[in-house]
Amino acid sequence: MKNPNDISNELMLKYLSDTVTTEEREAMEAWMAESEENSKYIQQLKSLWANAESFSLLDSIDLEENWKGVQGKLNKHEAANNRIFWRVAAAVIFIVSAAFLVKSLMYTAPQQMIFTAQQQTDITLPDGTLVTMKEGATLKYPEEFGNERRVEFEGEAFFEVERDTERPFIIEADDTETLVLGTSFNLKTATSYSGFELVLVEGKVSFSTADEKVVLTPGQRVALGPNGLLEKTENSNLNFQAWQTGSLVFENAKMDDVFEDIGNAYNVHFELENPAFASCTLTARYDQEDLDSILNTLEILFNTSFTEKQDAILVSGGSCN
Amino acid sequence: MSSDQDTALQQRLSRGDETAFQETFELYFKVLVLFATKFSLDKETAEDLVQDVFVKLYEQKERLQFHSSLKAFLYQSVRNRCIDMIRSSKTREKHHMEIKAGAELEGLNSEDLMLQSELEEKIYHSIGQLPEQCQIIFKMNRFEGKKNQEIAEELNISKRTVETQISKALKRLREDIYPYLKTLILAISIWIGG
Repeated sequence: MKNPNDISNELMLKYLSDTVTTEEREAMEAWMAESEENSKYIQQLKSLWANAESFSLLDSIDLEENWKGVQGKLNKHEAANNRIFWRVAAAVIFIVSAAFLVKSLMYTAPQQMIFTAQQQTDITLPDGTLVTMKEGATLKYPEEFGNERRVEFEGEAFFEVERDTERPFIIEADDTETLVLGTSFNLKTATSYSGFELVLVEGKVSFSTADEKVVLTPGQRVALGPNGLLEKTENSNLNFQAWQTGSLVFENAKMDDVFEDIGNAYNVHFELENPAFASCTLTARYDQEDLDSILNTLEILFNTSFTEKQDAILVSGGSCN
Repeated sequence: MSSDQDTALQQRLSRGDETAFQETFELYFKVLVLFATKFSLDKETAEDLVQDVFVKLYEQKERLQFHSSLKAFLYQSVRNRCIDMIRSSKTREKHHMEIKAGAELEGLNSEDLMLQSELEEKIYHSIGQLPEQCQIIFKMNRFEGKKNQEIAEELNISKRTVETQISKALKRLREDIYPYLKTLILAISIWIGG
């Protein structure tokens, strides 16, 4: 069928629609007999053409009914989507109320966390406040803060309180209350060797006992004197944070202060055998040194020796150079 | 419909034009149902399936711009659903039916079926454009397979009138369908040649 236009389209359509005259039919059949391709071609067209089913099918399709069908399905889809929305919404409401119920039940007995540092440890509280705890320090805090952030503390730690003007951060320690909004400070409760002390680094702190209240500005320290009264002074101790930073600085410092600072930084206690040695002075800087190497330099400088006892280090000898 | 019209419709649809959706439905619904029946689905199943395709079209009309053409999207969606339907019915039927359905599935050339459906729809559409009596006579001849004599007797007209009306119908069809017939002839030539 190189050239299907050998015969007219009219003849072809007439043949297909079975309206040909006998003559025309013969002409058509002769053309088909010319080649297998021709006859195949006509057969193909005939099978298309003769497919009256297609026409009656097309005729029987009710567009209006099907349009309604599509609209109905679209509405159903929308309704289903809405149902899914409400189901999800209901689930969310249920979860939220369940959480609220659980929370309000929990609130009557908020879980208290008690942490005692076995070594120097940083802990982050639920509000984001960072507490660098010195070895042996203990902090008691709720798992979740409510309207205020109240913790109980003993030992020494450096607090970097997350700023939250709505919820004050309150530290209870040694019958004192430290109220802050957002600040950083070093807090040390009393031990058998040293008294309670707070040194403010930045921000503002309101510090109070049952009887007294002081407000600190950066660089100030407050201590609880042996008489139970608050002493507010400018902080002169460069080494108040040494336990945390690992750096000790001494400028013409008296040896009894030196041993107090070293003792505080390394959590040890010194006993001086020779009272005269206490008034000797030291100018030195130690950065990230271990205790032994500091003591070695002191042995060489002051011709002294250190002996470890049960709860203290005994300082023997020692003379100013 | 020309590809330009198709592109214009596609653009209007993706802009969320509601009338474009109805126009698309009117243009394509029947031919798509016809196309679906060629995958040996009955009319009701085919109608239901094509309705679903229009629901999908409506819901995805904003994303339609990413498809090559509206026509391709519609035919492909119908084809895919038909094949899915054959496959799922295949799993439900007995073994020998599976083989038969499988063989049918293999043999389906959706390109040919699409061209065939388009042509048939075009012919049908042309018939619809004929004067009413001409239409009735032609349909009786074509759809009901009645001889000219029978039609003449039934309609109480002369056999000559029947013949005149049918040749009028053919003339009209020839004018309308010739471009499609050429496409089809080309498709068949390639098919036979291959």
